[in-house]
Amino acid sequence: MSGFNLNPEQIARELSEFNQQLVDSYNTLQQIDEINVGQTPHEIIYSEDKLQLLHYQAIKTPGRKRCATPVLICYALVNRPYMVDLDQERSFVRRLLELGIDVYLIDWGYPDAADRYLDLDDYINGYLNNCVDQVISHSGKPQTNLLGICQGGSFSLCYTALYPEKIRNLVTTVTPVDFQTPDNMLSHLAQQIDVDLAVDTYGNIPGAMLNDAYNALMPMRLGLQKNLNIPRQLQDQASAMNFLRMEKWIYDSPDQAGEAFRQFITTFFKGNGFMNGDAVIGEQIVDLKQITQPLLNVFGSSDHLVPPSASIALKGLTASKDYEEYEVPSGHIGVFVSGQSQQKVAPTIADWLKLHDKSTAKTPKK
Amino acid sequence: MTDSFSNDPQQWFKEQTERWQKLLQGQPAAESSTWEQFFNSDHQDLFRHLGDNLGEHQEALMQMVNSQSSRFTEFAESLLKQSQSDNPPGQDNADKLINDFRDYLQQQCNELLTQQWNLPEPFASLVRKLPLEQQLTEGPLRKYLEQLAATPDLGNMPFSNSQIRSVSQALLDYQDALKDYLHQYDLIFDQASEQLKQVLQQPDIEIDSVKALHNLWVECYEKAYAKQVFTPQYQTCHGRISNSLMRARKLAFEARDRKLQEFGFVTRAELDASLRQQHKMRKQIKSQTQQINDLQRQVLLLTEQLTNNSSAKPSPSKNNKKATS
Repeated sequence: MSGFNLNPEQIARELSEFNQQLVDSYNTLQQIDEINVGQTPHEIIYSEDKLQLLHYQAIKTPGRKRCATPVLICYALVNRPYMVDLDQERSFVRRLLELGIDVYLIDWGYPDAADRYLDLDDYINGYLNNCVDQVISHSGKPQTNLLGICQGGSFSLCYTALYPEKIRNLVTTVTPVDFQTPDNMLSHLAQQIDVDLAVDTYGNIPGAMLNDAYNALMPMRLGLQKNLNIPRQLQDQASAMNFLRMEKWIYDSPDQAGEAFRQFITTFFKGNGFMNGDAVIGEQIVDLKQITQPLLNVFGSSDHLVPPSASIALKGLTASKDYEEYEVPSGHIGVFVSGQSQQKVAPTIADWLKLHDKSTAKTPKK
Repeated sequence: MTDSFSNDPQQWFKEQTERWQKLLQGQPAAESSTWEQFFNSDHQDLFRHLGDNLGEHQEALMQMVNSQSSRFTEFAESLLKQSQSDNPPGQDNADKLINDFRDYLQQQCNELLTQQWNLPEPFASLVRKLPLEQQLTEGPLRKYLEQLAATPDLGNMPFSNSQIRSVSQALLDYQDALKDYLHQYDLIFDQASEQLKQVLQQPDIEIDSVKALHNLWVECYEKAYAKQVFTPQYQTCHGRISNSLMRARKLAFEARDRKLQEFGFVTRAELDASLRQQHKMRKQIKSQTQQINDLQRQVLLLTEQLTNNSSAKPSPSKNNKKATS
C-alpha cells in the first residue's frame, strides 16, 4: 500500500506544534471573561409571555434607497435568534440595516415548564400574528415583509397562507418544505422516534437532546475533527472570540415546548404536511395556494440539516407568480454567518425586497 | 506525574518537548503526564472560570478537547516510538497502522456513545462499575435482570411485581438496543477502514502527518456513516436505542413520582395536569382579550362614524329656517 510518508521528525514537529497550541489556548481562555453576542442596538417594542419583539432601525445613508416596508424575521424555536447578529463582522441584521431595511426580530425566549402545552396554534395564530400586528402598527405601514429562517421559514409559510393580507413579500431561508426527501438524514432518523413517548417522558424536549441529534448528522467531523482544531482556534484572543461566539450560539439551545414539538414532528417530519396539503394549525388547514406574494426562497447548496431538495420543493406549491430561488454556496448556518453572506446574501435579499417594495399582493378569497 | 513536574503549562510543554526529542533520537524517555492529566491535577480552576463566565457548555467542551488532544498526542507518540523500532510505521506495515488507528478512534467513539446513551439514575448505578462488554453480554447482571423480569408474585414487597417486571424488562431492552446500536458502529468503522485503505492505494495520495491521517479518516468515516445511516437497519437500531432509553427514563420518573406521592408531595403528573389547565385558561383569556379589543375597535369606529354623520348633517333649525323662508 502506498500513501504513507510519515517521518519521525515531522511527527515530533507536529506534536510540538499541537501541544504548543494547547498551552496557548489555555492562556487565551484565562483572559476571556465574557462572550458578547447580539450587540447591534435595538429596542424591545413588544413582549408577550417569554417572547420579545426587537426593532432595529435602518441606517440612513445619503443617496441609498430605503425599503419602505420593514422586514420581520421569524427565527426557529431551536437555538437563539442572535445567530443573525453574532458580532459586528458577522451580522446579517446589521448588513440589512446598512442597506436601508428596517428590521424586526422575534426572540421566542426560553420555554419552561409553564409552556409545556404551548402548541403550533399558540405560536403561529398567537405569537407570530401578534408580532405581525405590532410591526404593522409600529411601522405605520399596511403590511410587513416576512423572512423566515429554517423552522421559522415553515412557520412563515403557514402564517402567510393563513393571513395573506398582512404580508407584502415572503422570504424563506434554509426552510424545510418537503420533509421526506431521500437525502434528508435528520428526517430519516426522526421517523423511528416515538415522539409521544418523548413528550410524555420529558415534558419540554431538552435543547441538549436536539444538539445531540444535530451532531449525529456528521459525528466525526463535528466531534473529533472539530475538537482537534480547537487549540489552533483558541491560540489568540480574536480568533478565540470568533470561535466561542459561534460555540455559544450552537449550544445555547432552549428547550422545546412539548406540545409544539409533538405537533411539528407529527405534522411535518412524519406527516409531510406541506407536500400532502393536510397541515392544520389551530383549526385551519394550511393551504399554500393562498400565498400569492412575491416569494424568494434562499437555501444553502451544502446544507446538511435542510438539504436543498427539501427547500426547493416549495416551487409550484404556492400560487405566487413571482417565485425566485437563490442558492448560496454554503451550509445551513453559513448562509447567515459566512463572509460571503455578509457580502452577497444580505445585499441580494435587500435588493429583492426593494425591488418588490411597491408590489401589492392580491388577497385571495378564503 | 514526575516528581519534578511543575504546574506551569509552559514548563510542562518544555518537558514534553525534551521527551519527544529523546524518543526521536531513540533514547529511553520516562513516561509523562498527558495534557489531560496535567490539567486535571492542577488547573481545574480554569474550568471553573469557564463554567462561571462562559457557560457550562464551554467547560464541557474544553474537557473534551483536553481528553481528545491527549489521545491524539498518545497516538502520535506511539508512532514516534515505532519509528525507532525495527518495524517503523509506513508502507510496509500500513495495515497494522490503520488497524491501530481504527482501534484508537473506536475506543473514543464507544466511550462517547455510551455517555450519550447513558441510563438515568438510579439504573445507571447498577451498571456503572461494569465494563461495557459485561453490561451487554451474558453475565450475572443480565441473568439477574432476566429473573426479575420473570419474577412471580411474592407477597408484600416495597415494589409491586409488575413494577419490578417492567423495570427489568426496560433495562434488558435497553441493553439489547445498545448492543445492536454499537454493532452498527462496528460496521461503520469496518467500512471506514476499508475505504481508508482503498484511498491510500491511490497513487496521488500521500499522508505525511498525523493530522492528515485524521482528516482523511474523517472523510472516509463520514462517507461510511452516511451510507449506513440511510439503511433501515441503522434507523431501526437508532429508533430502538432512543425509545428504550426514554422508556427507562420514564420509569425512573414514575418511580420518583410514587415516592413523592407516598410523602405527600405533588407529583409530576399532578403538576402536568395543573399546567394543562393553566394553559387552557391562558388560551381562553387571550382569545377573550382579542375579542374585547376587536369589539372596542368596532365601537370606536362606530362612534367616529356617528360623530361624522351628525356633524355632516345640517342642523334642524337651519332646515326649518330654509323651509320657512
